[in-house]
Amino acid sequence: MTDTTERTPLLKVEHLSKEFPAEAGMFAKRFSKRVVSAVNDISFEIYPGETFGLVGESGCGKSTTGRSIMRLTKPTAGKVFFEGRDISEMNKHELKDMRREMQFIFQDPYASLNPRMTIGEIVSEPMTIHNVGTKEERMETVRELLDVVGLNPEHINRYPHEFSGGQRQRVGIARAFALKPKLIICDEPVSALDVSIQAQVLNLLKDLQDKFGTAYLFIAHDLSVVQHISDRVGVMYLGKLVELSDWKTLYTEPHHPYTQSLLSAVPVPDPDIQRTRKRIILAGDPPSPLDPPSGCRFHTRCPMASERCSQDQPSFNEVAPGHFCACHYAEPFPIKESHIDL
Amino acid sequence: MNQTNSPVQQQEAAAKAETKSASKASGKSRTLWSDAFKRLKKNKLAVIGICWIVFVVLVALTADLWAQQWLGSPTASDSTTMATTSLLAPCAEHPFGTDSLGRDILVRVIYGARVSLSVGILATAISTAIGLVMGALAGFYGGIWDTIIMRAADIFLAFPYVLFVVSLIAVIGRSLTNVFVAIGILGWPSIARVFRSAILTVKENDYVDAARAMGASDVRIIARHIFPNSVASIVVYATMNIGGAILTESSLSFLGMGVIPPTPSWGSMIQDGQTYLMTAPWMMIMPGLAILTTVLAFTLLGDGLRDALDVKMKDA
Amino acid sequence: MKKDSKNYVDLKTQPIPEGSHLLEVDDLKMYFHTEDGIVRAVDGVSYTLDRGETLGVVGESGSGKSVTAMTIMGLISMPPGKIEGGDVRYRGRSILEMSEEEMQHVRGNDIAMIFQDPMTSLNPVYKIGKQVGEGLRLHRGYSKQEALKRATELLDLVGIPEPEKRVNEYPHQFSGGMRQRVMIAMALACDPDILIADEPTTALDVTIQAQIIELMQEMQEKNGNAIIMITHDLGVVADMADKIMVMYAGRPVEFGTADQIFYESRHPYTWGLIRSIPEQAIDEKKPLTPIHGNPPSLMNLPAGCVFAPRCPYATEKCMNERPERVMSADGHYAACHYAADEDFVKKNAPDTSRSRGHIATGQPDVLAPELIGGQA
Repeated sequence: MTDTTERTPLLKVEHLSKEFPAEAGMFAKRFSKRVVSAVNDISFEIYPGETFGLVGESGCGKSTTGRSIMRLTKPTAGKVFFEGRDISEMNKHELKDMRREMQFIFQDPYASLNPRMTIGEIVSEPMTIHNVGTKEERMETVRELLDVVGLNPEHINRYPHEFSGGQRQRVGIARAFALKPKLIICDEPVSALDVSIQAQVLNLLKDLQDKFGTAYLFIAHDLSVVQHISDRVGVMYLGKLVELSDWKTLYTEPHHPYTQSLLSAVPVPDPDIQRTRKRIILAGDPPSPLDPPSGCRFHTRCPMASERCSQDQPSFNEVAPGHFCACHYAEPFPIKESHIDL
Repeated sequence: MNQTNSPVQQQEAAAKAETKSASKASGKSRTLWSDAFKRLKKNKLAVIGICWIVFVVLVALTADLWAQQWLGSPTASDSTTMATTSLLAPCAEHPFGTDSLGRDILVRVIYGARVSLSVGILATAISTAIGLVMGALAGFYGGIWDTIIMRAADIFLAFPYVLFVVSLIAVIGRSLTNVFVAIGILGWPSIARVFRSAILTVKENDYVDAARAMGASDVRIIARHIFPNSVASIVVYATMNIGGAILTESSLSFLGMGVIPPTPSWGSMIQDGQTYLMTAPWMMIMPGLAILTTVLAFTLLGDGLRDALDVKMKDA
Repeated sequence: MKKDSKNYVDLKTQPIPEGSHLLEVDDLKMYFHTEDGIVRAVDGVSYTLDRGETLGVVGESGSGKSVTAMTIMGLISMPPGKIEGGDVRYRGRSILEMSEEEMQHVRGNDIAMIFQDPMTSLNPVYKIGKQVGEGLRLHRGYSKQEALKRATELLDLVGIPEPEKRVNEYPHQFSGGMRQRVMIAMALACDPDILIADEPTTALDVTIQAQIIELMQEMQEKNGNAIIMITHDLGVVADMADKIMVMYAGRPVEFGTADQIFYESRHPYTWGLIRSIPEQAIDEKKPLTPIHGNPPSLMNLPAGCVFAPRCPYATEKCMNERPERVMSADGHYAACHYAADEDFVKKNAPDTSRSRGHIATGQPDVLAPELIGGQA
């Protein structure tokens, strides 16, 4: 998955931005100039069959990115190409066709399944909407899908509330795979689940990917989960993509101070490591996207920020083949001990 | 599936076995409505309410078959016997007593139930039909629809309700049909509001986004996803609204704006009884009790339904 | 409204009786009697805690870890809750036998608690200073000014910038991380003996989580209080805990020091948890080894070992007999029939950085095929 230069991307995101009006209400759009800049000028590509992880803290815009790609919300600027066609220009009809190829898995296994529909109706709904097969054929496919995701096909007539969180997430996964899409956007698919169930679902996702060759955009806040499942990873901070590389490089040679502090902040379930390792603890809270800092958006919390960082916005440069980083001082492990005051 | 014995497959097999063992022997699925009905049955007050409503409805429907033979006509007064039968206190022959014209009060209450129930149910049906459309437009499409409809609803709600109904009837004329039309037309804003807020809540759920992401049309999203999940609140509200409509009808009749005498109505019976409050209190008490118990029954049922339907999705 | 605090002796100033610990939870059982049946939310929890120690309570949702803490605090409404057995002793005195009035002195003053959701655990209509100082006014009889002054100091202590200004602000003006700092300031206001933290970092981002953990550790060093850290995150307990109790379906399945739990664990559930976490693999990725199936319903627990239906090593015996705790001399126990079987443990326990002898990670632990769903 490392040689990405020759293949054509399945999804290409170019300079995507999304702003929300800061005040809700009737006149807000017309009279208020204050906007929340949720996603700001981000670009990346996803290749067929790969998993692209998007990681960041709450409010960094990773979910908005996913929703903009799916056109669940309309991007303010930028283009999204799916198999070379611009999604933002599509009419209703083209959009519907495109949605056969692109599906979504949601975070909340409770809210993402309609409680008034049976499991069979839920999983077959994509096929119903796109008029695939007869009713009997659809139900047959649903049974197969339920079997594949590890649920009992006999439960086709049950309702979501009869299942546990992990099982519901399997139903959501079966639904996403119903049309055998080329890309599935997974928005925090395991963060609502317990550790042991989380591992089941991660394995299932990986297994289904091997089987159907689906590409994933995997959005999560948990670095170890993203590292586990992704081929390439993008790190977001306050609406910006700050670093992008293959998973291994990101963990072995993080070039951005934010990536490095994020890695360092994750507690490792190993007391020996935990006792010995040096941790970078970022000061303060992430600034509000209503009023993002000038220059590099991370400079207010960055241990190595200089005068330049508060003025110049760093560009997203390729520091090594396939490895991009938006930092004036990009280098492997940029934060040295001298940067941290203890 | 291929034959490799990966941990994933073992895990799937285990998960399947798990769900199988957890399933109940019957294999029958519980729908949310059947669950709600089970919960409703456990609620004693709601069951009392249902029983009372069923009783009143049955009595009102079958009244023609037995009531007149037993208790005499609810409307005609026999001037020859009036002197001897008027204002009789409740006794074996006239369980609720008689009124000033010698008519049996029980039979009048029974026939009054027809008026009250039909007004309650039909008026609520009209309010609900209008309210659903308005609420759906406002809640689902939002924006300018929302603004116009909700401000209109505010204006409607700002008027004193009974006064509004009275003026409307004064314009369209006094008849049974006009009573429930007037009550029905003026009742929509509350239903629209309830439905709108239910839609707004349901709309936030991921499954609505999920449907959109699948390429579902607006009509499908409303019909399959939003409506079934917000209808519960409407059922609850409409049930309570029936009681309210019965009260409004009674107030109208009491004010002389309801059904035209001699057709009995609970409200007009109370008005008739006013004059005899000290001498023949049963003239007011009996129809009053009928209103009280029936409205209470609808309220109890509505409360029960709310508890039964509005429960958070139960964990399996 | 002021409590008569004159005849009340601060429990935390009392000496701990000889041979006792600061907090002793002894076979505590808390059941909920519901319409649908009895929920055995906490079923035989035992542990001890001393000053300066941190106990990590690990478990998945519904494992009873929070109910245990709420029971200790006397915050479970009874009914439907009912204590079916066991005892909780604080400095040698049974908490369960205390009157509600006595408990009110203990709560906040001797044992304080912070909750998971910093957004809802502060009252939105009162200023931060008032809320932080409330405990001091209640338990110490501080005047308004004194309480506010102390609240300002506390906010400063927990790292809130410009505390003089911020005491006069309302909760909605604080971010999630800052609110959790306020919660900690509030909990520490009366200098409690024990701080119970129920998933205090779960709602927070990792960089903020790191701040909060560091703050709690700093405060503990300063005050010498004990911490009970309830979490589902093994990383957090590895970071903080001296002792760990692993809970499953209302029961403690394993208890020991952090090192014992992470490197010498003897219970298959603990192994399963450790194997379920994605490793920070550097070389190559291997699939995770999750625990099969779902946790049992607390209303309908399996007859034998509660973990048996999901345990890859379960035998006939496990399905039918409740395992006793297998205790080793150093206080480490595991509720498993085979915990004392060295060969069984050696064969099936996951690799750890210690057993591999180096800190690098990589090799996941694949179960021996003959053991899957079979005999041990």
